[in-house]
Amino acid sequence: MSTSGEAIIVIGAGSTGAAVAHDLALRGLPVVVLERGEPASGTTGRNHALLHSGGRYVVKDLESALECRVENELLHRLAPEVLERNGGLFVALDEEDMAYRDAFLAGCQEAGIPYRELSREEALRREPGLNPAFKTAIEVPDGVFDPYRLVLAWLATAQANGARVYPYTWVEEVERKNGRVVGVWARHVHTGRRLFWESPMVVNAAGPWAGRIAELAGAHVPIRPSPGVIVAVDARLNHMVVNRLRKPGDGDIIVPQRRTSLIGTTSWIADSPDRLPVPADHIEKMIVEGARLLPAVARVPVKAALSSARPLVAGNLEGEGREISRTFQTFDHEVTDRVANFVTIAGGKTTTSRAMAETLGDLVCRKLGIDAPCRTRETPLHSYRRYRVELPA
Amino acid sequence: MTEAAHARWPIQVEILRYKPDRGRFLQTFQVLMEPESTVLDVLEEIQVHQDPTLAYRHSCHHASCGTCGVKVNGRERLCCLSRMDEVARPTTGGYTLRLEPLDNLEVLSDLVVNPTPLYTTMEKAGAPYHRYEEAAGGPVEAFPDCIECSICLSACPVVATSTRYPGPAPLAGSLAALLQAGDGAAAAEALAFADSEHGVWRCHMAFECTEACPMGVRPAEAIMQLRHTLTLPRLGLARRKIPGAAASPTGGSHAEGGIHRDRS
Repeated sequence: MSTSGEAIIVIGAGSTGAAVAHDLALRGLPVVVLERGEPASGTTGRNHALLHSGGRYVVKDLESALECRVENELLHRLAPEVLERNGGLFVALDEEDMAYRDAFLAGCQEAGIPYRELSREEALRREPGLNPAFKTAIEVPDGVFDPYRLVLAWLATAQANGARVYPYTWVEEVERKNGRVVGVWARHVHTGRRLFWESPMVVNAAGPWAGRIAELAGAHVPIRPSPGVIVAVDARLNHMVVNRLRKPGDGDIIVPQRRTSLIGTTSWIADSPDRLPVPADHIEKMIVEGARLLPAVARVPVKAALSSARPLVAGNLEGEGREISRTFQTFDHEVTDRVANFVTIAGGKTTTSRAMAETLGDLVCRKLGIDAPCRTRETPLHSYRRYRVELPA
Repeated sequence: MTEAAHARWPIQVEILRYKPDRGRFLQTFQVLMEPESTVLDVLEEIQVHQDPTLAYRHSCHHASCGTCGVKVNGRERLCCLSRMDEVARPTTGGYTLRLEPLDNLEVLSDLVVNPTPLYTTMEKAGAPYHRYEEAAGGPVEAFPDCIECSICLSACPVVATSTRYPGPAPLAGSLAALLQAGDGAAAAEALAFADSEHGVWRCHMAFECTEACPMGVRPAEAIMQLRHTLTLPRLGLARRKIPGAAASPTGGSHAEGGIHRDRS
């Protein structure tokens, strides 16, 4: 199969779509990104900004933990300017948390995540706002990223390698002929013009909207929007990421970012990723739980509270979303729905989006019969300041 | 409002819109919002339920990305931090809200301005990237909190009159670059950026940028400090030398001068 010069279309410029665009462009393939709004205006923009060390997954999901560890190290080399390299703590507050300690340490060891149990003095010196009643504090290489700027850095690098990025371009139709996708109709929000892009391969990277895009192509993606609430307080209360040492649950993590601390999160299953509510009782819960880790949380004003929908690949919806694997999935719709030239990448998380893009890039190349190895592991990203807004002709 | 907790307010939202083929037009929408709702919630409500062509920028929803700056009732603000109970104006039978795109920027559509010229200028100014480790109080050190939202460009009366004036954020960025660079070539470059006929000397000291900055960066103070730094060598009062600090397009003879760095 030949690409005959037409670009591969990537639908969505969140962390997944942007990383995919970068991956494909770096392989020398022509790429067009269609994003319905601002880059990172869906799930990615409103994410917790946690650059995972993998610590949150070591007990229940070693696969995710390993993936996080590797990608965390890579991002430190590839995009240092969009990271705060602060480190993270896992903090036990009671005996139940302490009962989790051994499994946590064993998991860190198994996943190869560097960890260090701090002395009480060191923990308090480095994180003076910690609840002084803590039982132990374990340091891991968590970090913080700037989601918007990370996405722009991917897009800027993709642009430098020839990709065209069109924000505010809303996909309306996926055109098919004889069971194959042949292109995409999209409306440019600014001009109102409806435009057609012919394409040998369309990549659906629409996050929690991936189900809707798949429907346009006559395919099915079992995606469920699983929103969570994050509360940003009007002060930076911690230097490092502070996690509760226990099985991941509501309100067990506080991520410092710029002049704020982000407390998260809750988790439920929603019907639609649009107009997500920010329930008042969830905000309250974040403050109560957050104050257990950093008591000052209860004394500072709330700056903003937000919801965003994790794009979880369903199949097992027990536990209101939290039990669904955080690892991503790709769908070759030629196999799953007899719709050729159309693939979906869904799930995952921003920390591992480079790896997600690599897997998807390999799939696309295999399907197009192109031999072009992934080069994202060794290619530093351009500055986000080199991102350019493009308008479709 | 007696049932303040869960009451929804009827709000008349007037938006100064723009589409390339239609030009500017004013359109009014009616929404019911909670007092805690933000302008972003209002815009999403309109976009999802009333008019999908309404264009606005947003990403993080907590004032770190810098995308959602607009003029709310005539003043530059971040939509994500503007709650109805703060910005909606009571009228008989409800509330009103007026939204316009930022001034002095290229409007692409409705409330969407082009952010990339500012990025280019920031890069030219050598403005450092955000690093928390470096952000420890004071106007200069607070610079890394700049979220490049363009709000200061919109608020600045000089930017309104000159396309060649880089504006508050880039000038503040050049001071941050200068302080970070110490005495090397990068310092000379940062100084040259600030010290041109279109640089810090054009500031009218309206201090609108400092007033409008949602992050407390205080660019006007940074501009004043740059003037101070640039003036001392010309008066022979500088304490330290900067090689290349004389490379000033304004031609002032301060080749023998140095740079005074206020380390408070």
